[in-house]
Amino acid sequence: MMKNDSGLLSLDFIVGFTVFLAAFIVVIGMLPGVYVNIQSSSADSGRDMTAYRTGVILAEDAGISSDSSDGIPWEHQPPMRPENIVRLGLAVSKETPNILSPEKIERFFNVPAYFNLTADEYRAKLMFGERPRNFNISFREDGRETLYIGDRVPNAGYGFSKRYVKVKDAGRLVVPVGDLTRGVTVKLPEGADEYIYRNTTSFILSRANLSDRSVTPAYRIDPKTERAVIVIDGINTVLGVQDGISSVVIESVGLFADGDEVAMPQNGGNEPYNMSNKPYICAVDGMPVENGSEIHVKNAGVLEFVLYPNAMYFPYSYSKLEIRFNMRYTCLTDGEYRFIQGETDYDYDSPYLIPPHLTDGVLEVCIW
Amino acid sequence: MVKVSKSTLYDRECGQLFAMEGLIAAAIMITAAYLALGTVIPPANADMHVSEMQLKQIGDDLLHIMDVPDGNGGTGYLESVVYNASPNRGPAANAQAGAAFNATFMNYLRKSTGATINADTLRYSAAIYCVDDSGEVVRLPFANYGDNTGRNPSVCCARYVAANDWGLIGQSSSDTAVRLEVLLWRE
Repeated sequence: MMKNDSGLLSLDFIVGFTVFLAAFIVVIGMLPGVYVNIQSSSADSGRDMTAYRTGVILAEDAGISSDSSDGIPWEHQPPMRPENIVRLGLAVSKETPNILSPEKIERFFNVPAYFNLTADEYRAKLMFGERPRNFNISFREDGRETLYIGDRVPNAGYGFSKRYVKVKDAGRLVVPVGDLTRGVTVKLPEGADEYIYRNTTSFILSRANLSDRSVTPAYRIDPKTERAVIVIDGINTVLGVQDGISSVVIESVGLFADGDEVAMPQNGGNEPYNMSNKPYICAVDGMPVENGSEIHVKNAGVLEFVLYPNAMYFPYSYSKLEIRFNMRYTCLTDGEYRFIQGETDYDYDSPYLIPPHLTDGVLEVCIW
Repeated sequence: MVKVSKSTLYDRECGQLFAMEGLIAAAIMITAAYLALGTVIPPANADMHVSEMQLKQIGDDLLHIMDVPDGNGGTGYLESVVYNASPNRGPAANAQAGAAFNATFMNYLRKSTGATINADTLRYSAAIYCVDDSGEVVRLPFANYGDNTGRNPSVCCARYVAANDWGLIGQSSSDTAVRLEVLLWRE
């Protein structure tokens, strides 16, 4: 009988203790719920906090894509694959807060149209709030039009964050044509009216040279993520004045990564990992020329070639990219001519390089 | 003393009574905790400093981008303006540095994208703090736009700026760093 009594007492203790433990677990489980009130305690501060956080992400973060580990930033994702973007951010890199990339600005504000992100996608990849908020994000670089996304800002009752930033405009290689031309003797074949002479002129970008760590990050040229601009100045002053030349044409432009030609999508192509629908833009005296067509340059004042960045041009840290212009000259008479030819380096030591420069801008985030 | 016979039934009831007490105690505990935690909102710092945060962000951003080097290996704007603000450059150079800083700083403060109504209400006061030969910290008023009478709550932003050949009048000069402090407030 005594043994039965002690058994009953133990059972009581176990039941009581179990009930207490269950209650204790429930109470502890309720604690995190208490902090939910912080978010909803003030609607105004919630908006301000979201605006602040969004401003910080935009100005100080470079963003991230699902391919970031392969070196492909979010702005280089193909236009049909916005789902590859994990987080939006406009900074050139983590090392350079408040210094924004013009490529990222174009993609973010969709000028020209590229990703066409919806408001929900901007919310999911930038604001990360549990509440769906309305937003207006605007940006103005000095001397340019204001870019914006989102709805019209209400007169009152919105969270606000203003960030002062700089935009890193790409470096430019500006070469006077006189420094590119070489003398060539041309003799027309017997009885021929004209002679076609072909040659090439190349510009070399070496990733190893451009990644020079001694250069301040804000002014370092990263050919994987930044556009490269090549300007040949005053072509008409050398080629235009040679009367024996009837035409000078850039027949084609070839890109060679470590010696292998890169297959380039032409106008309207939507190849993966292509910065733009066009891999490059070539303009004669400010007038863009259709990619793939011949470029007549005999009387061109300025030839500007803008190469959009692409990770596939620089697969290795030592990779070199050659931009090759295939030239064709039509000569009508025998003689000694000066033609554009040879190789020119695109790096910090070049006397023709105008390094990247920073332009002031202001970024405003409104949330309501 | 009443002698109670210990039957099997009595023992079971005793056990059940204890379990019921435990359940009731648990229910009371949960209800009390629910009521207590539900009515208390822990104050968050963010709630209290939201308005100040905007001014702080603006001030820090401005000092940061004004200190970005002008070209690879170059110096930032703040460095050049602080160089001329050194008392040993003379009052004329100091006044010119203050005016140049004021023009640049106000130009930045008034910038806007146009998305919102940009009321020109921001005012500032800048001062430079340096150390004299005796090791004392000296405050030198530098530039300002508007006077803070102390009634407008202001936010302090500061940045250490490289100062070459810096020195007070009659004292030694050296390559050092000075603290540029900006008070920002709304009027």
